Amino acid sequence: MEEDKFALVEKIIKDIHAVFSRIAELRSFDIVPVDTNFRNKSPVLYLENCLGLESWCIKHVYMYCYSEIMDRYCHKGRRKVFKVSSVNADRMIKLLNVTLLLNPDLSTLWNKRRMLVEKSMLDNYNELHFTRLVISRKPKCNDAFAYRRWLLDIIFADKSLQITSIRDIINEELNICTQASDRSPNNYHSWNHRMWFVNKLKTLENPLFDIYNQYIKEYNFSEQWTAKNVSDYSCFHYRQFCIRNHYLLNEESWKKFTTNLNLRKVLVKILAGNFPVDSTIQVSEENLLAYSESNLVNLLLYHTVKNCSCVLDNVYICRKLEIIFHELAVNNELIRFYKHHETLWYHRRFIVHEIIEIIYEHFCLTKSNGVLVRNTCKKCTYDEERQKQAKIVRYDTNCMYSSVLFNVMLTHEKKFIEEMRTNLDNYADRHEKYLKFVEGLHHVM
Amino acid sequence: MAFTKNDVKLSGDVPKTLLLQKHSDYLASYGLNKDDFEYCMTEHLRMSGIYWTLTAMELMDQSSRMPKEEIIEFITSCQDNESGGISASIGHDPHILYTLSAVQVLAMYDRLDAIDVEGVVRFVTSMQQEDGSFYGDKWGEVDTRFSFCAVMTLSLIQRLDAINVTKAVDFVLSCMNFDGGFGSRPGSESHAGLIYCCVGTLSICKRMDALHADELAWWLCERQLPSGGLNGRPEKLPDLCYSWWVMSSLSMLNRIHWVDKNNLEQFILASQDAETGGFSDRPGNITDPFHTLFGLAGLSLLGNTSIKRVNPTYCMPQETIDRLKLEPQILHI
Repeated sequence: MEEDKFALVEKIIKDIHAVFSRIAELRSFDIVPVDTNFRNKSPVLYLENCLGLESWCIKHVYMYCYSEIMDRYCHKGRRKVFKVSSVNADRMIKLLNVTLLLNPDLSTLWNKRRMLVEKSMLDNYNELHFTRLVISRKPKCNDAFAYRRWLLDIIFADKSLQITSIRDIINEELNICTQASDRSPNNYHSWNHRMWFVNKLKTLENPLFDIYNQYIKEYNFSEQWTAKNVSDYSCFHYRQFCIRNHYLLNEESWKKFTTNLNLRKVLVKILAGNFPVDSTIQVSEENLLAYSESNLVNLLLYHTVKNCSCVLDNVYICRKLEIIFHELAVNNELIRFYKHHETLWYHRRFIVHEIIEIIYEHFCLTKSNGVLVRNTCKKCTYDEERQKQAKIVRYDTNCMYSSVLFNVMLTHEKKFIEEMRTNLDNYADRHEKYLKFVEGLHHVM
Repeated sequence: MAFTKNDVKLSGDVPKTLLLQKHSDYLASYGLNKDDFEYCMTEHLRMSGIYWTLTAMELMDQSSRMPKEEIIEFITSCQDNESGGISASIGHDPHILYTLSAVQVLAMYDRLDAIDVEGVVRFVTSMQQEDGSFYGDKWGEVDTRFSFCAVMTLSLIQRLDAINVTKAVDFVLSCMNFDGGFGSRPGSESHAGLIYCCVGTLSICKRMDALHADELAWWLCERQLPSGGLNGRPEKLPDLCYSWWVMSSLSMLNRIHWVDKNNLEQFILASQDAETGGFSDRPGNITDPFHTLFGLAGLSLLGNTSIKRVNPTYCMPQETIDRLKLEPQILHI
């Protein structure tokens, strides 16, 4: 009886191995719920690039493979003398494949694969295919993502990597992340991995690879994804990462990005609708559209209190504002449409925080322990004389509060909170409290 | 909040009192069948399993029901002579996660002599990187969890001086987000479990001043849902383990009164299984030792006097922390 069982497990290992000869084409793996072996056929299923295993055999197969691996290859004491050769590596790999498919949380077995990669007994790219299969069933498997990071570090260390290979790797990696994020909402690991990957791309030195173009793609992707997943804060967090990358676009990529997109229009619309009532601002929306970046920033943040002679980059500030106000306009629409979503309101906190940061930075202020203090100039570390500080801070803070941008933001938030309150969105009150007590706007609200 | 979608409703027949005897029986008989499939499937986290079970038993003053000598012998045999690190089980690879669990268990038993302590110091220090971060093992994955494991392990064996504490703190602070929370790496999303690790690291390194306490506590309090339970991130379901991760963080921040304690207590009690014993992630689910520990530890933080006092930084009995003369920092408001 036992021997029959062992023979059956060996058959299953062999069948899985046969399917693995087409690993590059395999798309997904899953366990198919079948209670008993009533068909008396192999429980290994292979259909349209998908591998399946019937559930009745899982326990036997797992116990058998796991025990053999632990006994033969991981036994303490003997581990040091155990030498992997091409003959026994073959058996080991077959067992590792089956065991990790069934239980991908076994870090020690992933380590065994790393060891085999280092000895060139496993191929980097095949290993990427294998983890794709594991992730297809367990989209939150951090060990599999960690292994991919380890493999990609090795692959990208090869400076002769051709641009076509780089593009293939990028497509594959982002696809896998997208699938894992789709199968498992709020997937910390898939979004974290995606961020790691984009950061990794920043370090590539191939002159044919354009990171700015990648920023634009990810920015557009995340805008679409977030609009469809309004309860998934993990993707909104990723969106925030994309927004910060977007600030870094160079001249050429910014032009390309804005060819079919008028971000200025969105910014100007919000500005014009929220100018201070008593203001002397006599510009029409049309005029504002034609303003140079510098003129627009001067209008919004006219007071500059710098004591050093560093030149502020108004073009950069203006683009940042265009990006973040676009985000604000999108967020308005999403909250209006999908009521009562904490995720959307949390993302709004990020947007408001970014706007406030731009203003603080302009006025050389920074928040420390809940109070505003004078900051040193980021560019030249010009420092104030300490004794003058308190007085100057009060003066600067007042200038900041009376700036057009600050008032536009505050008016816009107040109006929106009021609108959502009448819309019975209970997060509106919470947003107001947050602005008052966490962003520290209680004395102006 | 009437419109919260991701939450549970507590039915009328959930447990409302603490079933200590049940939990003690449950843990004492857990994992006795070493040949079964589940035991085999979880062997890769055995060392942490022992820590969860023993700590829960200690908090109930029932640790005499655990096979002490067998456990100590097991830990000794899980230490890797070469690296000095400790693995989850015999034959598995050493990792900083299980090195911490082993040291926690031995500290509670006052039997740190059962391992090569210098080996542990050697392992942990070898994991620190130039930027102050820590690998989990030699394969190079970085995570703020590993920073916490490193400082907790070393402090329990009185060797925190063996690493560069300033750099370790700087790395953790580089993972702070605008909401005051922390993720697993710089730029990663805030997550209550990782917040506990980062706040715990600052508590042990006595750098609680570096936190944005109000922002952070605000975010943590918003984890409480109408059911009384806490989630770990926005719009996620409540889960009992977050009653530990959120509440311990708030304890270190000295702001535990910012949540509704009564509601939370009801949620924790409702997550007990009156038949099998033990706690589950939320009412009605299958229990496990992990959630059993965090249920009991959560109740201890809420002031339940039938459970021993737990230390919010170490998640170990306060009496152990006192015996070791450790003074993790609590923020003064």
